[in-house]
Amino acid sequence: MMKKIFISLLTIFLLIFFWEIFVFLKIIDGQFFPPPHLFVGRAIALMTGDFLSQDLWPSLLRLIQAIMISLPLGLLLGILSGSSALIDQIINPVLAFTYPLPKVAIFPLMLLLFGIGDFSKVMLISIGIFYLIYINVRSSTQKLLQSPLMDIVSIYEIKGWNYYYHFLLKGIRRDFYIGLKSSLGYGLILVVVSELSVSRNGIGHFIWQSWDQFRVNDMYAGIFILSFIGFLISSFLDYLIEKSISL
Amino acid sequence: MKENIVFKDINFSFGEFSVLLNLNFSIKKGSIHSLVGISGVGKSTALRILANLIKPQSGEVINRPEHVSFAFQRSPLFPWLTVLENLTICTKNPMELTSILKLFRLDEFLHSYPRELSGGMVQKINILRSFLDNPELILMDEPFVHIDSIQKEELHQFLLLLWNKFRPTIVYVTHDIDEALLLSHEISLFSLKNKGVIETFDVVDCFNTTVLELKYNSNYAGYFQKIYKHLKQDLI
Repeated sequence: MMKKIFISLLTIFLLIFFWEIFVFLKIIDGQFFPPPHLFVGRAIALMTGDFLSQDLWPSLLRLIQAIMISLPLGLLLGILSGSSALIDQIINPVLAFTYPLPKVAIFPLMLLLFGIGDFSKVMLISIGIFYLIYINVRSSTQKLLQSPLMDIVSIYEIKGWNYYYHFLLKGIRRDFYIGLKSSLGYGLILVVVSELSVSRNGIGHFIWQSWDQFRVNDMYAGIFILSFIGFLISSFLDYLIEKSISL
Repeated sequence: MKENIVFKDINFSFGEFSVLLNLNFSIKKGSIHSLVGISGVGKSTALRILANLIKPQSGEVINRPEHVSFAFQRSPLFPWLTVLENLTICTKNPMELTSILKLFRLDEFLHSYPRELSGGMVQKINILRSFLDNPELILMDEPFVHIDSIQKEELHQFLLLLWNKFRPTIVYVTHDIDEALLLSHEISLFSLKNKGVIETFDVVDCFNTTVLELKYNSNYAGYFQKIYKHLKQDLI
């Protein structure tokens, strides 16, 4: 474990080291690629200032609201679709048909339906998150219900709470976390995309404004903060995935 | 007079492929009855019919007890639950569990996950679970097939200890001749050619002996030869 962390950190330090050296030696242009110490310093300054409440928090709030809509829905429909052939026949064709559509492409439709306020952004992010949770939960439920473990369920008459919680939910937990990890990564992309054009705040808006006003250092600081949040979410879910046992 | 469990004219096929053809034999209540035959002969299918997990195309099982449990060979425990949770969700009297586990000195494994246990220990839990709630009939599908011979002997003793305490009817599927002789009152030979049982016979004089005692039993060689010849002939 420590060796793994060391190797991962070493890669990052080497990248930073060479970046700094190349800028110092003017091999790469510092105006377009500011040295990491500058934008990391700027990111720390931003995190202790108004940026936190004016841009970062609204973005996170949109992501949290989207999760609150899509997570229970993806979980419920995934389980229903995975456990009943009839429900699967009703739900899955529609979802399989709309899944490949790039969600960014339906943002104008969201704006048309829900206006330019926060709700259209939250809906766009929710739709993006929903599919990956649904797909993972559905296939995991199907796999579980077709496994030899179902013989134990029927012989020992496992029902009610024991069936739904200890067998089904705990049985699909690992695949659910895997789906959640990919969907949150995608969710972050959609947070930024939805804030690029019609938004007055948010981290996407901040990055876009920085580019627009040629505040390159701010733009890098924004991207760095975004990456760091993605890294934290991903690490937390990796921990949950590693802890949970599946079929 | 205890009533026997009777397989009467059972026919079962997977599509066009017939597995059991007019299967007729009976199992004495309260005994351990082994089904012996080569792989693919229909032993496990007969067991699954007895458990009501699958239905035969025709025929019936007479006097099938209400309360049946099953010790499976493949994936016997839920991997994401601890030993205690695995047992708790399979019993109607979870309150009694801790005392049973203490009795059999299994309480130190209560909070372990199946992957943290040896294959032998997983099967021990599997066997113990099948006795919970005192079922009238327990079906066992080669539970010790992947266990080494020393651990297997310990598991046989554990199984017989539990049988002695609760006295259910046990139907045990195996292709291991010694195992069948050590564990059974009766053995039914399954034949691939006849797609059913060709003979049921008493082996009670070998029952509940150790592996060493078994080899010195005067009838052992006779039983062994009989079963061995049958298995060989069925392969040809």
